[in-house]
Amino acid sequence: MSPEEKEWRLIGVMLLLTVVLFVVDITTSHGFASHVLYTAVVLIATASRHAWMPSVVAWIGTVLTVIGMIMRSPAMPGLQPWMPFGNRAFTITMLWILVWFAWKRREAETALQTANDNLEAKVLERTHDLTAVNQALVSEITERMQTERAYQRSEGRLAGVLDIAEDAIIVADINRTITLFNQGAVRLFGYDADEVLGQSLDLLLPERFRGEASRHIETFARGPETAHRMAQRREVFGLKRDGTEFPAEASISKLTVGEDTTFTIILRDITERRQAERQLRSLTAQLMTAQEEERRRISRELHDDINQRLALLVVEMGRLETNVPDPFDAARQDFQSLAQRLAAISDDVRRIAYQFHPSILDDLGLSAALEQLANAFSENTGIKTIVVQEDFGESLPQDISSCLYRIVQESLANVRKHAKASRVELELTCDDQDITLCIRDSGVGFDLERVRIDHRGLGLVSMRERVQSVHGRFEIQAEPGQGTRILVQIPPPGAHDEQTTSPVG
Amino acid sequence: MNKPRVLLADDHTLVLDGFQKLLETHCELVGTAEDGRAVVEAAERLKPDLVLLDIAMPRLNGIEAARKLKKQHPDMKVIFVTMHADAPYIKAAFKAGASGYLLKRSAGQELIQAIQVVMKGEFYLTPLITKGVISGFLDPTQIHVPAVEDLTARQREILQLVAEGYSAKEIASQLKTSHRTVEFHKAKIMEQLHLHSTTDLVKFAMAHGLVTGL
Repeated sequence: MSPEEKEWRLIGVMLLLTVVLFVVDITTSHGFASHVLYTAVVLIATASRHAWMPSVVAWIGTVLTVIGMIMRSPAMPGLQPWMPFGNRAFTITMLWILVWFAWKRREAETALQTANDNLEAKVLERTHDLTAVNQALVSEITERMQTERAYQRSEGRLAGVLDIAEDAIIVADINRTITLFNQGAVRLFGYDADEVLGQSLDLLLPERFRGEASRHIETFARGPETAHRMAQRREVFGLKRDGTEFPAEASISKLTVGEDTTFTIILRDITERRQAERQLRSLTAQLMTAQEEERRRISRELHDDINQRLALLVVEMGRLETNVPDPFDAARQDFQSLAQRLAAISDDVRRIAYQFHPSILDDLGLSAALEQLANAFSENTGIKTIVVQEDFGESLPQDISSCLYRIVQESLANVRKHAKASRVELELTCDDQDITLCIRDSGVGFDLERVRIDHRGLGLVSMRERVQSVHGRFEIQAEPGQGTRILVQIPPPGAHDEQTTSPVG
Repeated sequence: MNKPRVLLADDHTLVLDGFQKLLETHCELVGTAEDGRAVVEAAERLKPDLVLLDIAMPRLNGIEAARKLKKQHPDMKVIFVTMHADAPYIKAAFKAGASGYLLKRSAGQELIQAIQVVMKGEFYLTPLITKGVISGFLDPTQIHVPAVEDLTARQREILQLVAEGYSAKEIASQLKTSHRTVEFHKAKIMEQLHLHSTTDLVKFAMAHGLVTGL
């Protein structure tokens, strides 16, 4: 039953009851206070959905009570005349008291309803809030889990990398205390990880390098650089558990998170590479010596044998020529021309022999050879050539003097071909450390990088190798427009055993 | 005039044979040697008037051999008969004490003449050797005035510092080189400029504007 229908039914019941009561009221005599029952109608009215219903019904009741008093048949005899009035007044009072109650109740109900509604709204709001918070929490947790997984993945990857890396990877904190020591490091240094964790990096360095290494790391820690390749030129050395040292290639990087700085050092044993390099170098040296030797042999063969025999032929012919009797003048002239041609051949052979190997180097020594070279160069090119050199006499080993001679020869050839110089200065000096050769020209210079890229090389590579074959250092400075300077430093004989070394750094 | 007593040194038997034939009418050949040490020993033993030497010889080259011979027997004459026509060889030969120098290929015409000239106490140099070579022997001071241009950049630096009163040690540390190298350069500069003292160096530097007075 719908609330609408219920309402109508309620109104119907009330109408019927009111009509019945009114009829009863006007038909019964005064002593029966049947009008009091209007209160029942008001009570029923309180069941209505409408708050005004009890007051309307009360009004109707009040009016009908008054009308009932007027239309009523005369009072029962013996009854006090004020009594029916009093009854009716009572009824009306009751009616309105009920209305008041009903109104009060309705008010209370409304208040309750409002309170209820408010509460509900609040609950809803709260629930909403909670849901939001919950969602936030869920997403946060998801995110956290994802991060965690990513972290685990990255950790795993890192661990994997650390494990399979051939290189030694060592992490140390700002106090140079080792905090990570990978398998590569274990293999390289021979320590177990737990033996070195918490120890100082010094453990892994030969004693003589410790101070410098620590200074180096401090400088690096303060510097703006985040990664640094150590020992690009010089060697770094590590110390194994068994006390052996090894040459290494190292790079270092630093990571600063908040207050903490950590260093990651990656180290590779380059003993084998060094060995290979040494072998290569010694092979190159041997090759050069062999080449030089062979050239010397061919040169000697040409100069001292073929050429001597040619010269002798000339001598013999001269002797024959003088023995030719005067009448055979034509024959004598033939002899002379033959002798001249032989002499020319002899000159050519001598020149070829000289190109193979300058015998002057063996016969008169480096000083004379260089002087001859410079004079010939100056004469052929018109370039002023100044030679300042110490006379080493016989003291210089053949390989070193050959090397110096060839370097000068090659440099002068470069000057002639490329430099457009007006002046060349050549200095050869010696002290306890080095034999120093410096060749400087006033020419146009060149871009070293470009020459390197072009692979024209200017014979620079072979010059360098030649110098290295006698344990020397080769250095070239050239800039467009600034001339070229070649510097060769060779340790004097007997001093080439020492090696240039340096600590981590 | 007596035939000069000649010792012949060459590592080529063919050459020895050939020269023997050339010499036999005018000289008395007292012996032959095939290397530098042998010739020094033979000269000691045979006391020849004259030694004919080749430059390229095993064990001890001709230049060294000549130096030893002249040291032990200053009167003994030495003539080089060789393949080398280059100035440094000729310079080295005469510096070592030789009195004559000729080329093998002209020995047929010149050897006897050379021996005669040298035995008279004069010098002989083969005409085959070019004029350019001879000019090389000339004392450079006669045709060349020493100048700043003949110094290398490094030498000029050192000369300037010397003139400014720095010691060799201070110069060495300034130029990042060794004390010895600085001393060498200083000596070499004096030699090149024909100067004899540090005072001369200072004067030269001032005269050439390398330093503006003290």
